[in-house]
Amino acid sequence: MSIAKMKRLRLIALNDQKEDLLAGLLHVGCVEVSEAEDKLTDPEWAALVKKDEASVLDVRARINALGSAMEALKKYGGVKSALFEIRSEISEEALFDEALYQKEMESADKINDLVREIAQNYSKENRLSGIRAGLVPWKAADWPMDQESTAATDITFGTCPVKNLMEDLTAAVEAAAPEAAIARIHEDRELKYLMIITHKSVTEAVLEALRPFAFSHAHFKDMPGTAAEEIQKLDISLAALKEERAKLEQEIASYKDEYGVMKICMDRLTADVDKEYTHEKFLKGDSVFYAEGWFPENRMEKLTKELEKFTCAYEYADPQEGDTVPVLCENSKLVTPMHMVTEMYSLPAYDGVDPNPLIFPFFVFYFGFMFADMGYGLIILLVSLFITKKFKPKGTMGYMFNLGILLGISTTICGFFIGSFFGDAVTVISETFMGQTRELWALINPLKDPMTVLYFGIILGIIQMVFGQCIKIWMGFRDGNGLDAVLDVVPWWILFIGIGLTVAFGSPIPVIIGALALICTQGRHNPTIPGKIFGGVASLYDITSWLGDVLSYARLMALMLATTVIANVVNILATLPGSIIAFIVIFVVGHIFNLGINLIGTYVHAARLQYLEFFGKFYKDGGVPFKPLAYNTKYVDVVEDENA
Amino acid sequence: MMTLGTAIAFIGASLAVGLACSGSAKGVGCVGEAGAGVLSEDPGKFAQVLILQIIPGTQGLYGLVAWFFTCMKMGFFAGNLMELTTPQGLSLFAACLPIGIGGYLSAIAQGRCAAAAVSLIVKRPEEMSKGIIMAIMVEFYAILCLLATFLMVNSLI
Repeated sequence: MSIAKMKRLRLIALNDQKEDLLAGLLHVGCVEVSEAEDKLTDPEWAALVKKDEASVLDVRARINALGSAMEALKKYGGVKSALFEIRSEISEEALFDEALYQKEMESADKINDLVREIAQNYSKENRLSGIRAGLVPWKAADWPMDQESTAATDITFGTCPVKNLMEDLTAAVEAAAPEAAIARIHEDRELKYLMIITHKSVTEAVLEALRPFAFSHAHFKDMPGTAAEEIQKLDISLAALKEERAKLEQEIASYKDEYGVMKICMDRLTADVDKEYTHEKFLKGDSVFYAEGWFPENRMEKLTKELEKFTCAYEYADPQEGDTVPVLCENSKLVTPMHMVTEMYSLPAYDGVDPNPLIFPFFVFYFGFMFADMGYGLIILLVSLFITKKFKPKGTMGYMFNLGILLGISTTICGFFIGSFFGDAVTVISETFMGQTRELWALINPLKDPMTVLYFGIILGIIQMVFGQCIKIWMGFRDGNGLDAVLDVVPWWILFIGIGLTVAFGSPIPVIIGALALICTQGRHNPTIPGKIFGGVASLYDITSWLGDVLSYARLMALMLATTVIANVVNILATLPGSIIAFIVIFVVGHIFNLGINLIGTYVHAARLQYLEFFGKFYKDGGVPFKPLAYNTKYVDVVEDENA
Repeated sequence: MMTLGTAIAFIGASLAVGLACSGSAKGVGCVGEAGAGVLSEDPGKFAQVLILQIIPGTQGLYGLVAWFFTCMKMGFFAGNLMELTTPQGLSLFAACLPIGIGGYLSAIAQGRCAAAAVSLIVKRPEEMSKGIIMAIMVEFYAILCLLATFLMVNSLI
């Protein structure tokens, strides 16, 4: 229920056992090895040890290879990746099955070779298609394309812009030399495709005469046939390429049954790379290596049991002043989903307080209060229940849907009290289709009586903020400066009570007493007497920030109304066309929209009230997350084999 | 015979939907431009870009809701248009302003925010949820505007 107490581990073990020890650490899954680089700046240490070389890059390369092979199987083998992976359970031994792993890596290499061949095939196809496109306009020329001369004549292929008239071209050629002929092979929107036959003696003169028409000479190499023949040849090659590609794709697809095993190997490689990242942090001597790190105190026994299997020296120590201790929040199953909310803000500092159980009731209730609809609540609840039961998602996804169950329940309950089921769907449906008016029971109708909802929200906010200040006092006493915390907080309470009394009885004296309490206490850290007084007076200005914080809770009312109003409008829209089918369509689409937009909005605002208004009163953030060497698998769950 | 008040109220309703939709169009367009650039590099991000693109689209819908609600209150759909006095018409006009102005400006602001989130998902696709949250923070003010309009129109006639 709190931030886990950490212990420091120092370890010296034999180089020979390094691999096994890494596997052991992975097995216990509770040690984060930290960088020991400060040791290397110490000359005595530096003489004995150096940074260990790990093969991170090597393993990463294998992950990439396997990853691209799996992508190829998805593309060509029709393997679908599910939104939620249904994880199978697997033992450590099976995960690190060497034979299977080697086989899959070979398959992956083969698949990647095939993918490369397909890529080459495509580039060849592109090249041939390009050549073919260049030949198409010349289809009508019945002369071998690469034969540019006969015994006495030159044959020139070339193009010029289409705007030149054929008569002008012919006239120009004839004027230059009578022993020449020009013919139009083809014409498209931009170019005229020309073939010119000239006696060898006049070729240059003719080409010179055509220069003003922007004539450009086209050369064709290695084409012994006419354009039509060459096109036919290319078509055959292109078809062959296509066939070859289909074969290659089929060959890749034939590996698709191995996809499942590849997933296991992928998880194994992830574990391998994590081990290598830890390995990187070791300091290596001639025959032994040194490592240091952190582990939660409550895992000490398990860790000791594991380390005893090796020839190694180890010691445990408490964290010292100035250490950056990683933070791990441990909470009951009910509260754990709340980690999603705090992690998005920042983890608590190691000497702070775990906020998860503290924000839990507020967050869940605020969400329900702002959403407040039985219909939407039930949808959230049922979807979350279905997904957690069916797919058992882990990590953030798991948090999300576990939280969804709680939020769904809270939304449904709040919706019950304001009598909202998809807004006023019950009333609208009964009026439109049954001709009678039915209304749900409601403790309070937020549309008719928004002010009550507003007051309720603001009182709730004040309670939460005062609660936050109580935590601050508690933290003060825990850390030995309780008096300071009390003096920071209590004068404010005197002022608030004073404001209350003044409003109730009309006498200004209680407010003045409260203000004086603030002036006397809030500047106490300043060294001089005028400084103390000035600091105290300046603190009165903080009233505005309190006012802002309190009014911020008005969003509880605003968002509750927003959900209801949009839901009601959807209901009215749905009844307009007057047919049942149109009603159902508009009803479903409209409410899905409202659910979607309000789900994100409500979540964000419920979280924001914790981050700004609540955390501002006590929270000490900036913790570094605890990241132990542990199984971080995507596709399978590694089950512990206690005998191992 | 339509009264001046009714006509003024219609101007208000039209501004509510017109301004809010213009804002949404600008916002959605802005995200679309940024998104198209991303898709040219990585077409696989289409779904993520699309989610970000629709975020500034809600203001237009709110505007439509306000327009619809106002017209309904005036009896436009039922066929028996109310004859509003000029002060009544002016107050309905005023009631329509929050979602018109707030919807227009907030949709543009939200569009720019979502466009920035598009460039966020290029570099760190896993941080998309934070980009969405930042864009949704703007949404709150559009919701407040809709609420203000709704509550006023609801109690005015």
